[in-house]
Amino acid sequence: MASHAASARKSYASDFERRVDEVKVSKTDLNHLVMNYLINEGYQKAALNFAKEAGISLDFPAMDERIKIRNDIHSGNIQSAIERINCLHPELLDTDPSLHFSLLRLQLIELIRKCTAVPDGDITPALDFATTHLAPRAPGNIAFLEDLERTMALLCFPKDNLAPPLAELMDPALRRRVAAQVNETIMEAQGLQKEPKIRSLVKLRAWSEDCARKDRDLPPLELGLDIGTFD
Amino acid sequence: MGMSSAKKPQSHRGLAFDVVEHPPSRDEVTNFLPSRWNENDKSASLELLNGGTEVRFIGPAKVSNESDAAAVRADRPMPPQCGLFYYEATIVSAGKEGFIGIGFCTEKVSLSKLPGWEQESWGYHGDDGNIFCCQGTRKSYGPKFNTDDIIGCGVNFRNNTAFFTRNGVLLGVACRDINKGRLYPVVGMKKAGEHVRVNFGQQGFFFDIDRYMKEEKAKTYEEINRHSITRLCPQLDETALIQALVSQYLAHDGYVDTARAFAEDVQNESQALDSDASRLGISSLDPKGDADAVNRQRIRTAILQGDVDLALELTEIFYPNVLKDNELLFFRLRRRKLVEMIREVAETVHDDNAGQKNGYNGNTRNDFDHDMDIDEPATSYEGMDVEDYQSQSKTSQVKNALEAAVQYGQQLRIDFQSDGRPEIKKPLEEAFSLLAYTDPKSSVLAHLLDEEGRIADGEELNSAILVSLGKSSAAALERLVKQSSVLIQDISEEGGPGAFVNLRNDYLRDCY
Repeated sequence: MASHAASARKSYASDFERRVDEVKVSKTDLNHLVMNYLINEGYQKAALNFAKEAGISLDFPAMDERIKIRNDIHSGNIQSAIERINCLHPELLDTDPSLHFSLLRLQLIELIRKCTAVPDGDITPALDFATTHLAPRAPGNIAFLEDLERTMALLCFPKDNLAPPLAELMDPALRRRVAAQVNETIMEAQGLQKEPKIRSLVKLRAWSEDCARKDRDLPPLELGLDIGTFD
Repeated sequence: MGMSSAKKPQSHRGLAFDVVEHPPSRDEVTNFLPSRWNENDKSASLELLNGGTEVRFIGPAKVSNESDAAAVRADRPMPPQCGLFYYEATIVSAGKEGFIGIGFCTEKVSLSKLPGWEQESWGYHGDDGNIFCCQGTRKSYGPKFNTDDIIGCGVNFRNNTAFFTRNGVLLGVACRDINKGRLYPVVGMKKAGEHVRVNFGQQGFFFDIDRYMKEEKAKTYEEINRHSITRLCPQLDETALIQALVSQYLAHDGYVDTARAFAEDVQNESQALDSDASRLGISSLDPKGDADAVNRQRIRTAILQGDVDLALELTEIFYPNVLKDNELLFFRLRRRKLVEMIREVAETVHDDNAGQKNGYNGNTRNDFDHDMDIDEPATSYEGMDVEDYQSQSKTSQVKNALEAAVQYGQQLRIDFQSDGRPEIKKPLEEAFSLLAYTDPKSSVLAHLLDEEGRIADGEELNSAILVSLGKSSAAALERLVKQSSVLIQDISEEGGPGAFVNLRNDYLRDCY
């Protein structure tokens, strides 16, 4: 009985690869998946080239402004990004206070970064900004309040020796996250999916493997990405 | 007061077809769904009416034991891979006390008790509104049944729970940990006058099952979206992993310009972010060094533009063995050329026809179709107007192109004469029958001329070249989709979390 189960497991594993090979995936579906990603993430050059090379018609709202906004946020020009957003979708930040707050806080972080970059930097602009723009928004919202306090703490500690939760604020990854949030909100405002489908697909793949491993002897599943060449 | 007319029923088939990952055809699905009460699987005290959709207690009126009753099972079990099964029963008459139980059970359960009185049996009882789960447990649950009530019973195979509804109102989770045996809908009753009519989805349901389904699906998708992806590739975070997948896909499938542009876009982004650009290994995203990728791109472009000769020539130069080793592929490409030759003719004719319909002079040219008849080419051109001169030269152009196509097709047929494989015979015949239509672009075979065909052939050739180079024929992204497809099939086999997931509809279709 036990050996029967063992051999069943073994044949499941070897069958699995064969079944994977037999699945038919439409190239058109895959190309659209990639195009959806390029458009959503604002990889404009790639999207234009892909339309040509893969024979896909390009039909989507202009993304120039979306890309400029992203680049502004990535490079820390938050003021400019906010102005562009207000120009593109005047009601967007008013209707999303938490997104607006995220942007303003990022702007504060950039001001702090500037004044802590040099010894004896002037912290007045950062303080002024915090008092004028962030403090009035914070009282009604615990999360805002905590975020603001944490950000202000950046002024008290030397920048090269920050505790992890503070260091996180100075990490460029935060810019990336806020930029992604803004992008999603703009996509939604333009009636598009806020997240590229490939993101959900990757999660689906990870989730379904973990579910299957709970009670099955899956063979190791290779992605087939030659990561060695990526480092 | 009758309840049944109060609300418009939705159209729903009881089984959520669209959640089956590899959906069987609609007929197959219907063939394994419960459809009626089973004449051969019922207590003698019950009578079926109306093609097995109604059941009535006929006696004996007196029973020896207090728990004795009469039950009937449906003709088929509920398929767990559907994720959710739901049916409704209308209480045509509750009799004096409403000793009616509605639920589900396995085939082992005897038919002499109300549902829920025995192991592997679950039921909602009308006389007291209680839920009975597998013999022992009884708990107060909902209202009692009255005549005209509509009682719904749903089994959620995702989380192995069951719920009931009354007159369209969800009464909440009734039982958990339902075992995964084959479960049949069951109804039991006890007293004369009790009478129930069932709807296994042939009619719309009183309860909004679509909404329930949507909410359940959303729960699964939330779970998926919260799931960590670390296991896929611990070295890369989500953003970097997706960039790597896309970049590898573009390079693998020979979209060289796009791959290069993508690498640039990503690099610009990284620079703005001031993050460690080398994390992604931009140099490896740059396919300049890969001569094969460039060659494959040229070949694909040629096919996408319909220039099969150029594609064949390039393949012959760079990958001489590919066509030798893949006879079917070679055939497929030559057949593509034939289709392209016919397309050229078709496009001229189609444009002409379209022009005619919108023509300014409104002259009918009934002989046009005749002119295009390939068996009798160009019989009636004498006496044409001078204005038609242009169309005449066009016509002779068409004629020549048509002859060339026929010739090419005949040669192709000769070359593969002895090959009876359906992969050869059928496509060749189809291509030839295109010639039978004066305007193939408006014919039933017009799909053969779709650009999609070029893309598919180009991909096939690209894959073959990759294989000949010892590379995997599928890019990592494609493989990821394939693996997901099999994984989801497996985890939804017996219900469970995968049952509400549809890879194609929810992840691949309508991407943009």
